[in-house]
Amino acid sequence: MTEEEKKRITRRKYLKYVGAGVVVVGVAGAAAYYGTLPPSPPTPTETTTLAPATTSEVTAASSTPSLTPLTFVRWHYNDTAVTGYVKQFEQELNESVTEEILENVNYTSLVDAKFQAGEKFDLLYAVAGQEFRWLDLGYTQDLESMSEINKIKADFYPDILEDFKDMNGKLAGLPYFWCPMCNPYVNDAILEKAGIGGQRPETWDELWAMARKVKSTGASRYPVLPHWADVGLGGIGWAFLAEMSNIYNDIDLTKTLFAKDFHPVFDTNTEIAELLTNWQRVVKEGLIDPGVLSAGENDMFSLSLSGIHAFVSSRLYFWKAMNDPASSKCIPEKLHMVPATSKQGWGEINSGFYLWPKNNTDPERSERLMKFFGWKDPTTGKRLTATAWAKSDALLSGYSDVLSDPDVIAAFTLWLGDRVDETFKAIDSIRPTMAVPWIWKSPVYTEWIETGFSTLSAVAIGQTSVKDGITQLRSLADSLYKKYYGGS
Amino acid sequence: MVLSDTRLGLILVFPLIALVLLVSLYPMGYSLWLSFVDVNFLTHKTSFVGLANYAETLQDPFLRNSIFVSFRFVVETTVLVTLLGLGIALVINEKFRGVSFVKTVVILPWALSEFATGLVGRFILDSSYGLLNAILLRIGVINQSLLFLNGANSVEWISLFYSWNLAPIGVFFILAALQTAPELLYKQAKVDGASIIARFRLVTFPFIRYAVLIVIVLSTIQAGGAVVIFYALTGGGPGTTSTPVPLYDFRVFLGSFNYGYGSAISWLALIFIVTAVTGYFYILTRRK
Repeated sequence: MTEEEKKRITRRKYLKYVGAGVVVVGVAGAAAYYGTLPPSPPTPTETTTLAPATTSEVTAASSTPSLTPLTFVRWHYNDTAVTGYVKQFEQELNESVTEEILENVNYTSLVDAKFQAGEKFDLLYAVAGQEFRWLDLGYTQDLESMSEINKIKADFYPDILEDFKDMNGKLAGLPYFWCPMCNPYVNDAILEKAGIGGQRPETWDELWAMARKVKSTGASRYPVLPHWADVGLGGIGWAFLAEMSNIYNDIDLTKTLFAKDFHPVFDTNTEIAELLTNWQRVVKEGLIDPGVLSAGENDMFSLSLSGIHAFVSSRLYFWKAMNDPASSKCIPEKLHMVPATSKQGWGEINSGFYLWPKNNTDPERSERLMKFFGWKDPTTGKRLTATAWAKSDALLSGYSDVLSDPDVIAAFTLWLGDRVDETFKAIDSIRPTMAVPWIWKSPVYTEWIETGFSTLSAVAIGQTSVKDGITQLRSLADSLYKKYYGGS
Repeated sequence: MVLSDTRLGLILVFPLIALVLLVSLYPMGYSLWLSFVDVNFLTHKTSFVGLANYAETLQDPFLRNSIFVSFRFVVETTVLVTLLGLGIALVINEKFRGVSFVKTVVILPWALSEFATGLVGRFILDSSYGLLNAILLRIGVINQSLLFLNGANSVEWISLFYSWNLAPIGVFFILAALQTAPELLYKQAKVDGASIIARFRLVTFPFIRYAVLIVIVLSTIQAGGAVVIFYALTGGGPGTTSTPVPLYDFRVFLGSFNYGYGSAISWLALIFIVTAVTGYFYILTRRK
């Protein structure tokens, strides 16, 4: 054999090396796989009780340091504080939790991908529209099997509890927050310039009439900043539901948009046509700030701080920022929440949920995690996140005692001053009147609004006629109804 | 048995080829399969629907609008990137003081992500807090802020910012080609009395023709697939006036979870882009 032939790799040599490689990789892979297999679930004596952790539990659990971590999937929000609560949970209950923080913008899609890939996780955030879709699709579970479920339900505001129930009346999640959204806030500084300071609209019609007055006196170029950001969930799609519900006194929107069986009931000759025709009119009249129609949620928020609008249809936590002179051009003392009267409701519910995935690490441990974040700390009996978010960001809680917590009242007083009582009364007046759309309890809504919202916007600016717009929305709704419920 | 060098080479690159097939062809094949089915998450059923998803594209008014927006955006962006690339490359091909600094400045926008470019655009154009309105108001050109991102013009603004972001690629492709043109040819053309335009047409262009072709192809592909800048700058609005096909497809696929129809739209978009690119190659490489 020549030197050159020796250097060449023969088929035998090649196969030998490849074979050796395969064996090495296989052994290493198997070792890695079995090395990371989750340990056996904790024994019942360690975890069956959901009462505050006892010393023995801590000791017992601490003897199993390789406990499979629970997984908490969430979006970015007060990250440091949330991680602090995670650590508190770990210490108090001798647990181990991994946080997976997903990008806010694509949160729904990313969570969907996780569910579809069959990933295990134990707790996740969701906002209105997502929670029931994931429940209906079998990714999350209702909470009726939880211990102390009746106590949890009893802590809710009765009207907020309805929003958290699925179509079968079962609790779908625990409250992360709720607040009224798309309800109007008034800037008296502008109204005073127009000579109508202190007046409050009681209906959307009255609001538009006041806006015309403001415009005609030159007190504001664009009197109204509607909640018409160019997004489905969190923008014009929600404003649409709010106004439909408020104007036509249809709290769950089953009479005007989607029936209880989720069948669409709107058409070119129903209430929706009147509403959208009015939207076109107010855009044409220059009553609304057109910048909102190409704005994302953040840009809409920035617009609300400009102080140039007489009415801002917004959310409580945006309004808090409007009251902050460091970031807002508004004069805080001149800003007021418009209360609801017997004439008409305002806005719709905006709620956030803690959901319980079906495919979780351990049902009992994940239940404890759910309750720690979504109900109360089992050790101290205190509400942790509910109180914290109310204090820091004016996020209301589904639990009725949070708003009477002295610390929460003090926190609200810090930014509201002597308007705190009137604001609390306004919140109480709006809560039972705001829209709680039944269609949110079906996967149809999120899939409908994600493409349908741009039709609403296109109709508003006159790019599409009211009739064509409604036809498109109806056609989309029909196809989704057919897809999910097999009807026509 | 001794392996020939060729066979050994093939064996050694096989893992890489397999990897490429796995990460490229498999998703494409999967997407093609999705375009022929309907996925129902509630019943967890996937049913074969044949060409129904493709047929639906003919009836979809949202898609028709998006095709128009995309077409407008691709044409405007391709023209802008090519002209900007050519113009800037011709300038920085000259020898002058500070040319290195200019080259660095020219490449900077390329370092920005598409999303960051969109945000820059928003900060400049916004009707409430935008820099452009602030400047125009300050110097007294306008007395109330303008809505630049309106239904009529938003695509043009997006195209402008996207071209600003993309043009450095064009500049450097064309600049590299320009530097291969022998100085002697220019001198001879001058001696022969050729004008600037004639020198560009007869001497410069033959050297940069393929670079220009690459720039046009790249711009078309990039602009045809752009989605983030629309998302960041206008969200596709107002209405659907700035919703291109990829953004609409994104909403259908990942917003409405209509995987079958979303995949069908993707495949039609791919066919459109490939056809356009083939057309460019034909036009710019054919011999007279």
